[in-house]
Amino acid sequence: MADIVLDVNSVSVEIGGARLIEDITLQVERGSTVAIIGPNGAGKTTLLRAVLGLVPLASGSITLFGVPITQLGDLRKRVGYVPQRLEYDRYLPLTVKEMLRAYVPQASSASTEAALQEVGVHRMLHHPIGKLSGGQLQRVVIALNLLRKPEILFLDEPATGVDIEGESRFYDIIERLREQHHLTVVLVSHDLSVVTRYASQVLCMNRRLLCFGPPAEALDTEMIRLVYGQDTTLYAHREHQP
Amino acid sequence: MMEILQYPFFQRALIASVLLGFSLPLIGVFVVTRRLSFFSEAIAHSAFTGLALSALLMTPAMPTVIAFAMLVTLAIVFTLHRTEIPTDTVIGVYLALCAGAGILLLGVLQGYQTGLFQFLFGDILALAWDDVWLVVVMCVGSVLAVLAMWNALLRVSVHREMAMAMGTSAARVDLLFLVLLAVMVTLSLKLIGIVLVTAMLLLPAAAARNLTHSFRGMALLACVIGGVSSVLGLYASYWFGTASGAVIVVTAAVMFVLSVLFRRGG
Repeated sequence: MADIVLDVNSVSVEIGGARLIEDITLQVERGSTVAIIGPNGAGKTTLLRAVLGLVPLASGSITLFGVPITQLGDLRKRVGYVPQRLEYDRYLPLTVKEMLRAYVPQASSASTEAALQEVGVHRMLHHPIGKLSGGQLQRVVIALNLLRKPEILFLDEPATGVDIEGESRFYDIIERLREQHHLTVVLVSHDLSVVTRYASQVLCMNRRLLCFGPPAEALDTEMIRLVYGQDTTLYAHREHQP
Repeated sequence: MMEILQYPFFQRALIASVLLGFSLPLIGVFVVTRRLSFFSEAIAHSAFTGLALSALLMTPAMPTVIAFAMLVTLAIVFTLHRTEIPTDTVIGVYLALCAGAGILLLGVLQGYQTGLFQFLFGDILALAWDDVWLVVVMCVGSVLAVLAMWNALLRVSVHREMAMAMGTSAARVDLLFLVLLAVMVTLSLKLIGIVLVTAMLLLPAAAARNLTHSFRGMALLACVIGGVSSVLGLYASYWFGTASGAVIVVTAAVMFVLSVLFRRGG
């Protein structure tokens, strides 16, 4: 029997009278990588925020680790989250070390350095966060999450604005960490190449659920046209076949 | 210069100004980084209405002013949660309401001027030992409270939703900090006045921001700048025979200008 970590059941979210997502259902198995895709305004980030318990549900239910999302309590320690790159307050006079200490006060200096080393930014410990590039900052946030030892990691378009090479390196790191730390990964992306390379399951949505399943099965040409409104063909990457 | 230290009124003023000069900027670093200066201004102006109410209800001035500041803080938080109006607009609405209602009530209560002028401009040289003890308690209390909330405040400042997703109650942190800020602003009014209290929150923190890229460094520098400005300002006000609160703030402003000139690159 599959080990379901996250169970989203017929969820709808309304904000200011507008229904942003409607009747979304998905189940995420432990150790899998689920990509949420859809056009701008499809409600991807809203779904992620609902799953994290940051917005109230109009209807439906969400359980994480078998517990309703609103009653997670201490289980939130097992949740990791990497927000969109542009949402941090970069004007805050804060070094990487101070940022990590604020989020994970119990982390030792050795484990902090090890976490930064794992994502390749160990030389940045005393750098101000405002001086880091977008890719470096996101890797610091990944290190921050690693220090908390999460079981499930949510990422909201984490590589937006990062160059193509940096983006590829970033997702390679996520994939390696998923394997090494037995993480479950749920990521929002608009990039189909990310989905085909890294996701074991894909959820397509445009306010409503359009498809859910392994990318090779769920993402046919018709579905991509439905999601993005144009013809696109997918080619599986040889080195990253699921 | 040292002979002035023999006078009890100056000893009291020196203790109070050093403690306030140290603790207000410590709160101020979060006011500056969280962009809450307008809120401090609104709370300071709520003292007009608090004072008028105390005269109207014949209640002690300071407790009434603090109670009213708490009420305004809760009203601002409640309005922000209930509406989608931008924060600065909500604060501006309450600032206008407090200032307007206060001036209106004080106008009706003609002849009530003493308390108003003390709250407008403060008088640190007129403090009694009871006032100094109050300053000691509030400064030690506020420093301990800020240190206890330090990591949570930073988490909410870096990325509010990331902090919430990881288990920090951002609403609780916000409310606790705003209440602390409101209490400190209100208690400081009698000492440095409505006009100057926000300046002492902001100037040392803003000057420190110019000189460091680390938060701990900013906090330490802000406290040092605040403390030094208070001592220099107090002595200068005695020397020139001018209002102490104003000279303290001008000294802090000079330090801010120097920090702009000596700002580290980038």
